[in-house]
Amino acid sequence: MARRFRIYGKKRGDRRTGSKRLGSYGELFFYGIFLVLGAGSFYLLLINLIWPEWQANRHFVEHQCEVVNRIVTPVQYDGRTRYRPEILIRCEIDGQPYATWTYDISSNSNTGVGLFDRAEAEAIVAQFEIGKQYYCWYDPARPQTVILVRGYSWWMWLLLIVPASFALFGSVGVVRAALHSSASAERRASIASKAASIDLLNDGAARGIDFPNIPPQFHVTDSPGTHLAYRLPVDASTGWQLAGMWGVCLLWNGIVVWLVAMNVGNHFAGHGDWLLSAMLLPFGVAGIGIFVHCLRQSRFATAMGPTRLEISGHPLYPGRSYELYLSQAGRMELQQLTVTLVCDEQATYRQGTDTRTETRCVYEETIYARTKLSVGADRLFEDTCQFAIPESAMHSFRSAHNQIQWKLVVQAELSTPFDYERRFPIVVYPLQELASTSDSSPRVANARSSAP
Amino acid sequence: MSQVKIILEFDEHDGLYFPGDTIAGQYLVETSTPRAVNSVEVSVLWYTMGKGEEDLSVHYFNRHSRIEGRRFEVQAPRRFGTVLPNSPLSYDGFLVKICWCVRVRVFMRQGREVVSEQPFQLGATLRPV
Repeated sequence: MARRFRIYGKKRGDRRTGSKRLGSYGELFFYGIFLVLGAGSFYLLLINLIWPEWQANRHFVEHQCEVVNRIVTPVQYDGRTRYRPEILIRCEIDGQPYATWTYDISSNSNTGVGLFDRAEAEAIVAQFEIGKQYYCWYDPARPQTVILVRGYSWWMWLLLIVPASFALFGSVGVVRAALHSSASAERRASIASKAASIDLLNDGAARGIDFPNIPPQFHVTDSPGTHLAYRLPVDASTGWQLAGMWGVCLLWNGIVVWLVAMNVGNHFAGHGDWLLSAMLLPFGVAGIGIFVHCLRQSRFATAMGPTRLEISGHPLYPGRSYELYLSQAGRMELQQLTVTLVCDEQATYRQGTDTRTETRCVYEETIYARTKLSVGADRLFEDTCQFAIPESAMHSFRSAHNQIQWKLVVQAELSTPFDYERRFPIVVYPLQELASTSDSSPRVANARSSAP
Repeated sequence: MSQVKIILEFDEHDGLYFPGDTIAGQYLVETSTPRAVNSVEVSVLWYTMGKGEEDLSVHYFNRHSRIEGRRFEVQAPRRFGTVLPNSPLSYDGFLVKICWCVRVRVFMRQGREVVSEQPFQLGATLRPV
């Protein structure tokens, strides 16, 4: 008889799968804790702080009272002595005399709000002179609740963000976990697909609804070229790499400089630690090395000048030829300049708690190559070439964890130790049928001719 | 434990389809305890295989479930049919594979599920060039 509930995972290929049901319960429990904590804290904050303050400002009735006495009361809160300003007032509401110790609406709460340092509390009570008349506000439902000061504390509303975000995170997680445990993967995907297909702006073509899971191509076609139809956008990931390197450099050197400054200060003060100084030395040298590397990379990136690729058509289709225009600005001697058509498969997977991405090049063809080039400030290098997408090529594809990416890669070998590479993503569609038809929607006939 | 058998048939063939073609067929759930079946789902979908996490997208989905007070013919043959989309086409790569299939999922009481699927190709299965 088959077990219905498996606690331990079962090995499937190179992955270990756990009990789905146990996973769902665990997920439900995890998000449930966030939901309960968030909602509970939200409720307590609302009831104890926000709601009384709101009522005091909106519903309390203005009146007049006489200050009879004033004191500063020490209160032990959170292991410290804090002070609460307390004013004894006397007033008559609807013919009924009232006498109460008060200040603001938080006076009677035990939340720590309305507690001050001694000097602050004394300054507050000093504002109220004994025997003088002051405005006060009382709760019409409970006239014994009277306050001398009212107003909104903006930080209380900010405080709500913390429990509200916990509650939101928890509730979204609980709904998601409940949906996961009660609905099949197909049903969930169907709901997601229907939601995604709601076309509010009637731009289905732009969003790639006609060709599901093919990346949209508007980021290419919205940039016209000067020589050919479209100018290809460069993949910005190298810029982000450089920014990341500078981030690491600043963080590393910041810490090192701070430690060095502290250590030098200690030496001047006469209690320096020579062992610490010696240990800091390799970190300092590494910091200088990182800084020099970043500086050289930045200089190189800025001195290279832009590489421009323009293409005669986009999107691209298998079996068709396209013209390519290449230009390179800057001031450099190039040993070799190549343009390569590349197709990569990319898969993202989880290994333990890590998310890994593996990329494999499945197609690579050099479509342009030149050697011994000189690019000068007054001499822009320009050339054109033709290339074709292979007839049986797979189209571009993108889903949550898997991708098939086509791109043109410009690689340059310089006479200096630096080489550079710039990538220009392109989108390959399935082969479009050329049959003249009144149907305006594109119809795909991929591989119909090459089908066995 | 009740035995459940799912019979899934395409009207034309179970091989090669092209974008814009209609895929249609019927399915049948055979069981000795029809009252143990809570619902039946049929979907035309693609999913990925390979190194990455599995992605899945449903192109056609239909669900028949037991509703209190209504007749639920578990064993009646049911039809499905849809026009296939332009993409993604079937693909057999190194890290990424895209597989199309028609999948029938039967939900039994106490959370048990029985699944049957019939693969087909959308476009001649492409391979890395």
